[in-house]
Amino acid sequence: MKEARAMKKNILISPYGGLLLLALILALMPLAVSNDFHYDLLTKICLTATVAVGLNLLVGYAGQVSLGHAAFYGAGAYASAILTSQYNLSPMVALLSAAAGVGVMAWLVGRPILHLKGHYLSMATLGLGVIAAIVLNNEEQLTGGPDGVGLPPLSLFGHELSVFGEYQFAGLTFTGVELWYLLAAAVLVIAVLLALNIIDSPLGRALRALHGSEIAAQVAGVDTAKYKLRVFVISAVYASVAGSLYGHYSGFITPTVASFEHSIELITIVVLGGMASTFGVIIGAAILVLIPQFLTDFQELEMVVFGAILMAVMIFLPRGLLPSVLQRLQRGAQ
Amino acid sequence: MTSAAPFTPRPEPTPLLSLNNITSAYGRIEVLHELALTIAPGETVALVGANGAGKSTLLRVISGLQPASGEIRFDGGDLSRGDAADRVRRGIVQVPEGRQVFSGLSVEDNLMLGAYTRNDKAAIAEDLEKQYQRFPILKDKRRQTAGTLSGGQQQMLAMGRALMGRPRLLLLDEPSMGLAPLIIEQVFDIVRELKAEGITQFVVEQNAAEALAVADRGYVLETGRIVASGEGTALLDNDSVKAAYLGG
Repeated sequence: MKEARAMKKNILISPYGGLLLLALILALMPLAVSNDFHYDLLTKICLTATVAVGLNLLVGYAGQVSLGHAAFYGAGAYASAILTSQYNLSPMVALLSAAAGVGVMAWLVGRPILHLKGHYLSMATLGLGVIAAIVLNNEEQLTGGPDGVGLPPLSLFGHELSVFGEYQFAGLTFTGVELWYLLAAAVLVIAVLLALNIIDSPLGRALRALHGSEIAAQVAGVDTAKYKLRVFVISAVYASVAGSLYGHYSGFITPTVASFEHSIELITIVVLGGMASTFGVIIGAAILVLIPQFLTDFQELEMVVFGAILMAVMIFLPRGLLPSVLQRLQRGAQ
Repeated sequence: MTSAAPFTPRPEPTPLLSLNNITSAYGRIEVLHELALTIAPGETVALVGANGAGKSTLLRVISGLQPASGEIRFDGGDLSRGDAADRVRRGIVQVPEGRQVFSGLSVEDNLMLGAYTRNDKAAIAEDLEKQYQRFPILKDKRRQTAGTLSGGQQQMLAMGRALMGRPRLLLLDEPSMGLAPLIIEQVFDIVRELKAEGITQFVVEQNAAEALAVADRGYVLETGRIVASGEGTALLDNDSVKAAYLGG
């Protein structure tokens, strides 16, 4: 009896149980929504959450803060835009090339910096973000400047996926908006699955170790600089892929996707949802996408109320939403 | 390579670790000055000295965490190159000052991280069992996070974690720091036990009386220079050492 109860508890707490729950919630979501606007929000939540899950690997597990993650997101989106519309690459090839390019960029930025201790990475990524914004605004013939640039619809294996289209599968009719949501949800589930695998791998163990005590990790033989760099590159690639998908989804992007404000928003999501909590940051992403919708009634006070909510969460739930709530539930159960 | 000069006398066995002319600085402040010492295989050597003498710095140099000039030889090979991870692979494992357990991880994960550089799964499992026998309290608490352990238990965990790396040279940085007298006894009992098992140990301590009583030999470090050395018990009787470090 006691064993059975312990097992049940383990499934609920184990990360893969959480993944199942996430997939279930995402699959049932269409029953709860009624119009394209809702689907649009859900799709945006899934893509934002994908970036956050990747960023959380860096912030929550490696203890490094990137203040320029929007630059990687923007780089992915813009690379997709330029490669598809100016070089006629197919969207999937462009997405993968963009991800590889962003990975290399992160590697080049991170390699000299992550040998240093402390928060030098924050400064470097901050600089990278500023440079990215300047480049996107000024290289008009390539990026369209502040006016932005358009992207063709995504196509998978020769099938175009446009938000305006209608598609038939097995006798069912889906709108493009619905399919985009399903695609974004699938991407999020895969992103979480990969993240959980990384956390569970020797890389993840090394990361948690160096977060706990860098010196102890070093004297245990963990090459801390190498692992920090690796996870930085991984998190940048997450951002790039989500950025490319967002570009194809919205069909049009402006330099704001790579702005400093967007970088701060991404960090906020991770801190709000709960550092080192993969599922917490998904909740964080959902809240950050949804709150502005609920706060539109406050009009110009919207940002003030938004800030107040964030402050309240940090004061009363300092470990972030999900970890704090779980901790309280566990205490209550004991 | 092996054509050593025939006239070189070799009265002693090759030391496991030898430091020669080691100088190390934090920025412009030099803390170790042309320091030399040797540790023979199987020996337990103590390094005692006051706060700020450079004891921990020396251990950091040996572990490859702190840059230094001079010659470091380990098991006959040059160690001046090679980063911290490389030295762990060669068998130099440190129990850092202040224990530094991975507080968010379980006791067992902490121990397993000690075997990070190893790939021999069966032997790792065997060693894990060995540590649980040596430190039964760790087995009882193996699923708890390390942060919930008491200071003494954390010290045991840090030592167990280091032993999981199958050290050929175990470096202990202030293992008694901040612990109750009874626990300090336990820590030094384990040092004795490891000594009996033939593990080479280099113990850095402010608690000179305890450390020198356990050690075969000792060095006294004073502001980055070795000022006295000899058999552990003899050093304990050395008047100047007594005056300086043992409170007269």
